Amino acid sequence: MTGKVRRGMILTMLGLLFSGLMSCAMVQPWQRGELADPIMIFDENPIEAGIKEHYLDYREGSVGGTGAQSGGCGCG
Amino acid sequence: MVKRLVAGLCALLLASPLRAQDLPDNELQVAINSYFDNFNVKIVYPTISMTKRFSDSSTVSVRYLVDVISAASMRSHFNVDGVTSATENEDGGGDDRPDEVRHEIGLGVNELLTGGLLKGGTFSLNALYSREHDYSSFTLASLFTYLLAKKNTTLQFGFVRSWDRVFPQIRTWTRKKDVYTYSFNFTQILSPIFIMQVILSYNNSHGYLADPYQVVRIIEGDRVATYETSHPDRRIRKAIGLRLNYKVGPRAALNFGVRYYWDSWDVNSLTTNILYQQYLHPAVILGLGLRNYIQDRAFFFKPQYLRPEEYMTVDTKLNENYSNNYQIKLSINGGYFKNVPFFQDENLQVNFILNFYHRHSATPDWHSRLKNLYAYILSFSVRYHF
Repeated sequence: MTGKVRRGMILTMLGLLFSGLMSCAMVQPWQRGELADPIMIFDENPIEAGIKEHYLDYREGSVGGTGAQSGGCGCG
Repeated sequence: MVKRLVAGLCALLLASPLRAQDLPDNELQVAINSYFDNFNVKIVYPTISMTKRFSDSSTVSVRYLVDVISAASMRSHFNVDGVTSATENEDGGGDDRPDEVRHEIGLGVNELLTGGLLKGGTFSLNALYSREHDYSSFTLASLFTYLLAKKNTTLQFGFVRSWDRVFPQIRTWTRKKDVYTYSFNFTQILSPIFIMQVILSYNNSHGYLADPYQVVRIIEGDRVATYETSHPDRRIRKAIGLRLNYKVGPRAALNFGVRYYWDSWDVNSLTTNILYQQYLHPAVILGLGLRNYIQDRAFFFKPQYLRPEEYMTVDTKLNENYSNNYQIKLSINGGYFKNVPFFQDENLQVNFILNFYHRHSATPDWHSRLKNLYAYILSFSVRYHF
């Protein structure tokens, strides 16, 4: 993948981020019932998320950018 | 190679127990996980973890894990002709015994800051120690979480430092590996049913970054010479990820993620994943996931080396490859099934997860000589909130 593709990917993600921010309205606490549902929480079970993340880390050459904390642990 | 897998699986213990919103609940979790693939790697790793809230502002968590691994590649017999540390010709275990058993313990604290400039923020610190017969690792992981805009925005700053030692059974040396990881997470509530997260990470590893159990074979005249693999001793790894979670009606949610990764070894990758979760019953959640990954190869990876070079590797994860992962997950909460003894307690949750993973590499794996890896990852866990 070239530098142009890399820059394109990063710009696309940043664009989505800022367009998301610009379009969002303040959600009040009493409106967050749906967001508290376990199926709406990122990595609701960190241990489960870590298991998946790290067997993939080992099989592939990439790490990070997924939300799970990772350390040395010989994964690199 | 297998050491990394084993150790990597345990790094899950570094996963933050914090939800962005608050301190974790009191919980005991016991899990049995297993991994099997067509490269003859078999791993069984039970884990137990407990989190206990000691006050309104602090929790402590402890975790323990045991890995039992059997792998054909660890039983390879080889002499190294090249370089320095030529070796005894030992193997890692018999066919009917595990090649390796590893023990690991983790301890963490989470503190809600109740005063000062950062009031309302949460700080967590986790320490992890792991040791096996040829590898040891000590890691400190810290994470600071801060909520803004009436808790619509969450910022997380993470730092992880690891001190690793490698002392392979088939070598006479001990080498170090140091890892620094910095991360920044930005989570934004976009609407009452839509949430977004952006993740940036920067990882700096230096020291011994190769795998002592892999070898490069080079044809020299009428013989095949065997050399140790040699990787650069520094690697800078960067990634940016975006995740979206959208509630699809009252009983289902759709999670989408994309990640772009690049590093100083010229490995670039793109990952996309989607997870659909649906309530089949007020107490039963079914999840179906699909993940696609594609990467190109490191600048020093070659399918075949004609002569010894400064950097040489046979590591398939540094080769050009793509993969797909298929996941099915079932979570059952207790309290709804009064006639089923085990499920009467509403504090109980049982999870079953099956992942099927397929990776295709551009050239065959150095040891198995296969281009396609097929793996099954099974998990069974019980969570109990008290």
